[in-house]
Amino acid sequence: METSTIDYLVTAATEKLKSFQDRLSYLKLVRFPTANPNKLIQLFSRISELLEKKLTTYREKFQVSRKDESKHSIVREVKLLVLLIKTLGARLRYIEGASIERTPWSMVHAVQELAQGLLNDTVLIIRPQWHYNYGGVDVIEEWRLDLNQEADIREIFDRVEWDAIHEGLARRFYILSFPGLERDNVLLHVSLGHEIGHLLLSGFLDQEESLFGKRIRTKIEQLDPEQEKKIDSKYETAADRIKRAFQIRRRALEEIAADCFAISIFGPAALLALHEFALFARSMDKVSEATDWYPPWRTRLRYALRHLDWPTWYTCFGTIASDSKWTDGRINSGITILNVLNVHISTLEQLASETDDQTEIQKDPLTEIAYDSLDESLERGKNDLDSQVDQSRKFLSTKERCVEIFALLERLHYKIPPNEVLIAKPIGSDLDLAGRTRTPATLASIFNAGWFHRVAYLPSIFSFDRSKTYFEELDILNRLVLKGIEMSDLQREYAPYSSTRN
Amino acid sequence: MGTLSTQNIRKRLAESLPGGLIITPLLEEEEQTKDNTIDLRLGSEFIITQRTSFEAIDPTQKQEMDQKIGDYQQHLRLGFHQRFILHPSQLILGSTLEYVSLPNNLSAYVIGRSSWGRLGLIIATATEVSPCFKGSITLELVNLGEAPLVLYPGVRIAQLVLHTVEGTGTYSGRYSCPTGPEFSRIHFDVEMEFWGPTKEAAEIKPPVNLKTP
Repeated sequence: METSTIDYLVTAATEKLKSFQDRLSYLKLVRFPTANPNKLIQLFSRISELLEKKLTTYREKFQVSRKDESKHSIVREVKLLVLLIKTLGARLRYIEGASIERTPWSMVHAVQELAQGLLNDTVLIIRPQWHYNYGGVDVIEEWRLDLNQEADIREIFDRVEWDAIHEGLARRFYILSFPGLERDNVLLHVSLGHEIGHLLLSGFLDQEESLFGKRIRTKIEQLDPEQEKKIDSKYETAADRIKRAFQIRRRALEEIAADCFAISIFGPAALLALHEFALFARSMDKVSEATDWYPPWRTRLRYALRHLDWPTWYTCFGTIASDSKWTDGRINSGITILNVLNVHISTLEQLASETDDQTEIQKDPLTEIAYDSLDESLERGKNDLDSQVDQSRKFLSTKERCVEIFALLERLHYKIPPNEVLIAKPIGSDLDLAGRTRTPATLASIFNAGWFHRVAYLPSIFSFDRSKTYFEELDILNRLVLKGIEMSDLQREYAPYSSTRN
Repeated sequence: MGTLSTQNIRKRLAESLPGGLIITPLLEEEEQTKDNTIDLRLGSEFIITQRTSFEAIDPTQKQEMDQKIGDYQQHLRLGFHQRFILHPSQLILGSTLEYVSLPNNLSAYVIGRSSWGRLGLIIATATEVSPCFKGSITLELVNLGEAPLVLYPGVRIAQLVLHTVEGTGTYSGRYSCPTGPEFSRIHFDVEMEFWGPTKEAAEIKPPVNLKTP
């Protein structure tokens, strides 16, 4: 094997690496809402620097190598290295998408803070995707999976090198994606809470599979001939059927548990966002390969409602709703808002009380087995998530929360960003501000106030005037919610500085 | 009509909605409400001009303005702690960090802070804020000095002087709850079309290039 062969190969590989580095240089100039995408750029830069050094080493090794066998091995490694660059290059889209122009930038920092508080040693990046769904992915794990067919990162980097690459950086880089079409539909982004739940659930799901594996296997093996006939003929062997049932069960469990998690941290807003997705589903009841075995929307809404426990929230809101003072010609008080909201949630309860989804599930024996004992697992899943989330991060139906949401709702009614709750006691001396507190609103309360306003107030405008007024009001609501999130986030960040300076 | 004192500003800021004065967030309420004014901070959004794809601004050409204003002005958002360099004679639009909601019996004037003024910074030319206005106030930032100025979102850049109104006032402006700077809407002036070129004038062909003998 000629040296010129490796020279040509290394030169071509260096070109690929150079292209990758050029893209990184360009991305360093892009403006992002937070520094997190820059941290991923840093990680990718370190990987590329090391790959560059390795290329030089390969060339040198090739020149001194005498055996054809080891020369072939070097050529293989160079090709592997190029594969690494190409597949890593595909991940640059995550950084490109995270720019200010393409994200609802005002909320990015607040959501990152929330998620990073729940996930250890993690950097989180939010970006749009063209696929109409929310999603979450671990960049490095996904890269590994992408390479899995042909290579392993460990063939190129040993443990020491890999640790050095991560020095001073987080171990995990998660990308949370939202549907690009919905960039400005701020309230729908409550669904990011569901994706954070997914990230926390992976360990639990693996445990569940081993725990229920035997039970599922036995049930499939004991199916009677009548039920056997109902199974899709493409799942011929027991192994195929077990694999399929596992897949259906895992998907149901992770989606429903993640829904419940979103409700734990965002309260009613998470249910309302879930419903907005369900609203446009082609089927509320089917579980099928076409929809990637996602659980039926009706099932999800049922579990979400059960987890939320709306009657407790309603009672809690009811105790303070009468204190609200806003009025206008269409909706004239906090109580009216609450009642309209209650009617809306009653329609969801009605939707969830129908059992068409269960009938669909029972039509297919594998799906029926997969969904059997789901309650038991979900209970454990919720407990598992509960143990990972500090009590203070949960959004509970306390009087304090209800008061906060109503105070923010009042601000939205008067077209003021819902960023803080002002408590102003009568001023003692003329210039005394000691009795005044401005408490930054929590992200969850802002989302809930926004959703309550949207569900209970805006439709009255829509029925009153179907022209552009509704959409103008919706645009104002979205902007005010975004501003509220940005301002409260800034107030929290500024407060420690202010207190140390004083 | 009288100017609100510091004491009255602080009292009005404590009143509940809808009659209360809202200025939010007030990161340093005591520090920002002094000397009968309220200090306002620079927001993080800007509109900058780009000259390369716009010929001229003719506010009488409403349709053209609607379609092309985006070619002339471009939104830019900076993170906190990031800087914006304002060069001599450069005009940009910024906005206050604070969102302002005036009750129907107060109006306001936005004025520059003299410390910035001494460095050449002008912050607003259209300074009156009407009763019932809600939103972040757009600032027209111009550097009249000779050295480039470094601006950071969050710095105190302007002052609001509040006045009581005799009777009550309303806001009928074109800007609906802005949360950042907004493009000019001068072309929405109802009578603007009248002052534009007449059809006959528009049809007059430009002179043909005369060839030199």
